[in-house]
Amino acid sequence: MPAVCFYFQVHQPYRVKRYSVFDIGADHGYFDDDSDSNRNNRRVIEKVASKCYRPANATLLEMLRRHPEFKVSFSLSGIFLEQLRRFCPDVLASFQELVATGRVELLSETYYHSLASLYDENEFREQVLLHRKLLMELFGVRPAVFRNTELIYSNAIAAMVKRLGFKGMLAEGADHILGWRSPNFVYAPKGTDGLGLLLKNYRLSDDVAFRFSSREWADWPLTAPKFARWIDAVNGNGTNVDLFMDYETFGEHQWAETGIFDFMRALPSEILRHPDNSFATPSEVLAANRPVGEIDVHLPMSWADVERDLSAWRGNRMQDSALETIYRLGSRVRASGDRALLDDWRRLQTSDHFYYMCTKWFADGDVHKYFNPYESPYDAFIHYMNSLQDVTMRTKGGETA
Amino acid sequence: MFGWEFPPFNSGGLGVACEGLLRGLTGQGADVAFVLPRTVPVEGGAGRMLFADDGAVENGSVSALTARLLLSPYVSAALYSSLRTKLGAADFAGDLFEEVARYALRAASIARQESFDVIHAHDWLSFPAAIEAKRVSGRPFVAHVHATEYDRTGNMAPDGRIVEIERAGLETADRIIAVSDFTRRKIVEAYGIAADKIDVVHNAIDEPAPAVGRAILDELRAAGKKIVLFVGRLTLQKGPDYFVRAAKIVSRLCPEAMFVVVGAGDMQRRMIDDAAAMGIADKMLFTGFLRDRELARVYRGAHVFVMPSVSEPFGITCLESLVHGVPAVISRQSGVAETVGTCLKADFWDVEDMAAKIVAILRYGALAADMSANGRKESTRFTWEAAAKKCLETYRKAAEKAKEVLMKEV
Repeated sequence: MPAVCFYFQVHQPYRVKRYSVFDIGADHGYFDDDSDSNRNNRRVIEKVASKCYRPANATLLEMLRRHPEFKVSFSLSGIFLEQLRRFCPDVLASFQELVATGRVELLSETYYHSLASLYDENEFREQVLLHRKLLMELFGVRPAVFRNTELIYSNAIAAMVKRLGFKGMLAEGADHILGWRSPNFVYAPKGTDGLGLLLKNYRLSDDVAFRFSSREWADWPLTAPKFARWIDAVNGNGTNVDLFMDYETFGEHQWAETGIFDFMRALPSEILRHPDNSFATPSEVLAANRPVGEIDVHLPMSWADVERDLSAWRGNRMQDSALETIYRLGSRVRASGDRALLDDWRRLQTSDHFYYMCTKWFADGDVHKYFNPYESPYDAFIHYMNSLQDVTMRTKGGETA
Repeated sequence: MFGWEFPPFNSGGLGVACEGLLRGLTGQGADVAFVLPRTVPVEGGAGRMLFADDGAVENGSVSALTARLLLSPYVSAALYSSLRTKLGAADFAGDLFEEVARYALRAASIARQESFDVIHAHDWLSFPAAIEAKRVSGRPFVAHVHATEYDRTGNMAPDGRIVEIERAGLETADRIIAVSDFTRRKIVEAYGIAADKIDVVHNAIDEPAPAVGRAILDELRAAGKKIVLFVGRLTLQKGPDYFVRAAKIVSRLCPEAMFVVVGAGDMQRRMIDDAAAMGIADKMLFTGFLRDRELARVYRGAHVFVMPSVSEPFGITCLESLVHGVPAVISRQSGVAETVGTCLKADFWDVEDMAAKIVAILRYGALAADMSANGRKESTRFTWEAAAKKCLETYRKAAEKAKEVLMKEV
């Protein structure tokens, strides 16, 4: 009975270069780092393209050709697609080829992978519409299901998403909101009618995304037959198993040497061995199932860290101050009528910038350290705020701040 | 344990580290006899204090002064003899090397009288004493390196005699403790010692004494000034000249910045001249050498602490700034930079980068607030108890090594 619903997140931010106080007022190229560092956006995307995007897309295409029942979905951020178009057009073409199979659904998100849903509904709406336009232009499709940055979700966000005309939305299947309930059904948001919710089965998703190559894990090594048995076990107790993860799982977080690609290749036939199992895209899951219950979320939640909250992006004073400053600039940036300025301001809204300022890793996430292209969260904050000072000056037409 | 200086008769971090370590070791149940070359009225040190001059506590200023100046581990041999002439301290040995040798001779007789399992000596001034103690007792010797001659001279013109004493100590030692990986690398590269003979034990910091009185810099703060603080000897090693150059850039971007220099040394004159030539003399304040509560008050008044050292084996002042909640900008050429996360780092020669980071802390309140709170929290990781435990582990390795050697000889 359960349909396996894959969703892969694909995103790359425009990282801010080392932008010093001396650059303010003199240099507007915040994102054009050309060093050998991980702040060089071209270098990063080219590296990830060869480790992940190219081999993973080829693997999926091969799987789609071999198994007519196999389906997946993607959410590709607007700034990721922009960078692909510029730096790796062949990878963009391979995504287009995947979508052309008709069994790859594209989801909607904010063009700039931003936190606008938490700060500015108009800005949120504009970014969703910009993303919609880009998907139409590049893939000829119009997305029907929404996924918010980092699966950030609350009752209020669900209402905004509904107002934008979506029929469904993705969220984390967090224990604190589900309690005894299973994530393997469709749910409805409290206070909003006509929007279906797909919840991430984080145990099974993280078995692949985080634990796959961990030798300390009791279930290592994870094989396709073993994983298929865990899916089978959902039979009679769920309609959909939502496996949501970063696409970089394949080849970047889990290197090719771990066998992750072979695992994926073997998975469809193992899962389809059980006659009640199937694959489905988010839209298909929503069309086939009615909500079984209501989800009530007042404080926004996300799929990040053990807390599943927003503390990775707004847990300290630097993050709060940076977010407050950028969203306060909105009206002035719009009023300037300067399109390049508007685009820079929006690129600076990408959630990754705030993630790099996270100081939680003293206690928990070496994850943050691994992904941080700056020497410290403090350095990330400085380069970001210096860039924002320059943006501020531009809104005043060159006047000094 | 052979040392050279001890609070309150210390001129730098060596005495502070010895005091902390002694307390940590005693707390772990170790029975430590701490030997100093000259009698000084040390108060409240843990363990037993021994003085290698047989003398009773000399009254008053001469002993205190000589302990503070003549026996400073940071004084060069040339400066030592000129100071000695000025002070006319006739009862002191002819020069620094004679003093070191005299200490070593006395160490041999102390080693014959005392019973102990391991010899632990701090820096080159006490290495000959430890070598002598090892020779007469056959006990294992652990050499603790807080700084090398290359650090003290900022890698310029090291005194060959001192380098040779250091080398003799490092080669004779059964194990070596370095205050950082930075220093371990230096010992391997400059002295040709095998890396696996060296353990790294980072220094630590105590909780600061509760705030007493008001911060010295309160008036300046009240007048809207931003306090940029330097703490250290004014010598080549500590990079005070880079501090002045960074100050020039900072004051252009942040006119309300004031630069407070705590410490004394032969470069003070040059700093004043440089500041005057750059037109920022009125923004620099020199407090001279401060300790304990006075120093704590200055830390409490500061907005940002800067450690621009050219070559800093550890850098205990960085931990002092952390424990006082002062955001720090420190040289990458330091041991502390390898272990502290809550700080901004710059290459000592890159004064523009250093200035940019100072300005960021002065300009962005949220950055200063997060660094201050996280720095305080992080400073609690650095305890003398943990450092002492690592030393005990090194003692164990040294004893094993000494036993192996003995077995071979038999």
